Amino acid sequence: MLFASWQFGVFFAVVVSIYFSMPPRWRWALLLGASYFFYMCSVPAYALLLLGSTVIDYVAALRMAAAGSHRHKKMWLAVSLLANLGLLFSFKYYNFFAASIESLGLWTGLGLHFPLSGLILPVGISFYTFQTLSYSIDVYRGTLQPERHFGRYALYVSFFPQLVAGPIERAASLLPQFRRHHDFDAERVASGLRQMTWGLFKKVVIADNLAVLANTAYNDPQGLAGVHLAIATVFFAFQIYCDFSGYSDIAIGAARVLGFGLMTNFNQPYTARSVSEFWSRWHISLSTWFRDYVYIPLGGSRVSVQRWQINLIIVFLVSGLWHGAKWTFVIWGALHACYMVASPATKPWRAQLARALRLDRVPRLQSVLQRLAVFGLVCMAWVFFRANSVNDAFYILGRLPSGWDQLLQAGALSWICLPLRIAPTDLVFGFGLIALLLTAEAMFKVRGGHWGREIAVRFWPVRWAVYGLLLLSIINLGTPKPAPFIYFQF
Amino acid sequence: MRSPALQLLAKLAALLVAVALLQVVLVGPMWHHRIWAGKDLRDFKACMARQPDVVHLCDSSNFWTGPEDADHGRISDYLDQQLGPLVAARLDGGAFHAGMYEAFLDLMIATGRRPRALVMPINLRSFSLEWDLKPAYAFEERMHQIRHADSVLASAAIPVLRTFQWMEGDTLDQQAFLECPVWLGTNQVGKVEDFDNPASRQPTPERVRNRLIYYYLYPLEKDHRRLAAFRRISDKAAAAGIRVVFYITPIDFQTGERHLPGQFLAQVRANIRVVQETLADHQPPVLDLSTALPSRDFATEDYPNEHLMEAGRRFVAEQLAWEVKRVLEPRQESRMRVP
Repeated sequence: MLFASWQFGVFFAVVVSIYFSMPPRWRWALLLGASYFFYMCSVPAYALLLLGSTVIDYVAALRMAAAGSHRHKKMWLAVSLLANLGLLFSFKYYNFFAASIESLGLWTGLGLHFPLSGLILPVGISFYTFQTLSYSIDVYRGTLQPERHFGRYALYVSFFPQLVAGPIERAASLLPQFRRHHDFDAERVASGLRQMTWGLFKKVVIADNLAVLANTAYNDPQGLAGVHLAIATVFFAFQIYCDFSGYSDIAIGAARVLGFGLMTNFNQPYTARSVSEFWSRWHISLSTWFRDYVYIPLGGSRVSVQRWQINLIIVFLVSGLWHGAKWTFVIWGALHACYMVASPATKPWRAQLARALRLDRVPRLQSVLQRLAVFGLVCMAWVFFRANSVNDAFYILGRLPSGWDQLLQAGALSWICLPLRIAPTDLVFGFGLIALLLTAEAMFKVRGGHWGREIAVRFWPVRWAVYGLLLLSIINLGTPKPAPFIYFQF
Repeated sequence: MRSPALQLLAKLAALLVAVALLQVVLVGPMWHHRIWAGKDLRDFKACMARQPDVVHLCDSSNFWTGPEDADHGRISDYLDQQLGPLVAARLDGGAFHAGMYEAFLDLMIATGRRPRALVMPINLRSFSLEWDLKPAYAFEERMHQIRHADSVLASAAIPVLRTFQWMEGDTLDQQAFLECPVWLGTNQVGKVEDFDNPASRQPTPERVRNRLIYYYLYPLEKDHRRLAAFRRISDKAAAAGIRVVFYITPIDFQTGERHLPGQFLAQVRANIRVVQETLADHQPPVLDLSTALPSRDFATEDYPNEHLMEAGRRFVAEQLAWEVKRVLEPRQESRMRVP
């Protein structure tokens, strides 16, 4: 069930209505039933995996808390890790592993062969396994008391607003909220609905429209010039941002309507002035997960420089693999690792260059250039993320310098649009959407708040005009075939 | 004093009503104009502008031609020539199926632009998974647009239905389509992904055999949705005073029999019986041209299908002309040539 579907609208309205009409002590049961129903709308049998993962972690956490010795505690942690990572491996990575081994066999002449599995990737498996893993690890570390109420724990794993694409919530934040009673608060419900509407706008109007051009170029890059591929990459950068942050906004808004607070997942990532700042603004729930459960246990930055660099590389390679079992994602992660490793090493040179160009005297210009440079690096990595194969990605990067002189010729707009099979108005519309997004986000940032809070304090005709325009845009400016959320595949 | 929940609900309802009003009053006419500027409705207007006595609704078998054809005319063009003073026009498109024909008929009835007769192919492949369930051939939105093209209100609803994926109906996504079982009679012989592989363009004997199975050897059920659509077309047209000539398109039965001796014609005939029984009340009876043409009359490229060479198209037009004349001028007798 997609968030941008009438089925979800009906489902959500029914759940909210019953939720606030029933006694608070049984609301967890309603949300749990609704969450499993929501999940079973894709492949019903896969709800058993969700249940299995829940039961294993529930039992493992209780056993860890009751364990008399450290050895026992460790053993139960291992059970949880093996079960969750085993699940992830079987459904997500096995075919990648088998194909890679087979390629290696062909290359070395060893003739290794593993049969491929025909299993379909369960929706949201990467998200809920990471959520349950964080719970087990926190209980093991003693930073969290295990939840004894199985229903509430099962709800923590399966809570429908964030079940299939995050944010990946920590038990310490979400579980206590399931124990509290949430009365109907009109202001909070309205705020949640506002955020859902904004998320839907980003997904349906911006992401889906930008996807048309990006998909055309990336699905058949042969013969396109660098200009086409650069535009497609910029469009993809904003497509994936609006797609995923739009989903997160809908998830956070839906949870807020019900009375729950989920963590912020995106904070204007394309305004970052360094790659590390980008990662503190992009998919924050996953970045902080890797920080807390991989990077810091490896030693974080409190180790030698070489060791720290290795830690970064490990974290970003794993992050790449988390996104998908393909070499393109691994290279995407590796590129970001290179950026992170190179950043402190190149800092003196960059400072020297800024002084030589006298940019340090114009801090605003320097800031704009830094943002553009980071955006360029991020886009270069997106080429690998989006390309259908590693060969395609290298082909696209190789073609990027070509064709720019054509922009100075007469009829440049038609020359850009023709191979991309779009009208010039579509191209202008795409850039207009990006400009609209950046302007809106910049305005909210200047005023120090989220758009929802910003709009809520406006005079009611202005407020209603904005709501009306957003709803009319969502209805009328979407594409004929709305695309599924990109992060569903992870 | 109303509760906060009711107050919020009232505000939400007011906002939605305001948006709905704007959608109908401001945006609806724009969509209405846009829909009529689309290909399907431009074709409809062009067709009706000729004030035809007969409209030939058809799939690509109407216009697909062979590379060696001297004349690339459509079946509809030849039909028009054969009908003499009667005017025959066409409404055709690639992969058109009974759902599309029904939508056009609905629009003809709603707008009062009724020809005396319709000619409609019953393409046996259109009941197969390859055509019926292929997401790209679902045309749910197009059917909706055509069916309700006369209403500004319905036009205003189209983007709403589309955005919230209401118009998809029971259209499968690509993955679910590839998972569908393929049948040879009553035996499952694989899944769509085994048979619908665009990479396998080279027509080896095994691939041709598989394609024939995939296209024609399903067991047709009486409640098949496309067959039900033909049934409804028959009823609606009768109620509107429009005569309908249904014909089963020629298929390359000789190639079919060569690759699947005995099995091919047996299953095709069983499926034709289901069609004929479903439309048993319809007058005139369904014209069966399924085995009327030899292999040489088919414009086969990679795999056998219903596309015809010029001689084949002319033959079909001749048969249809006789049938139409018989229906509209009852003294004429039907003539059927068997190869």
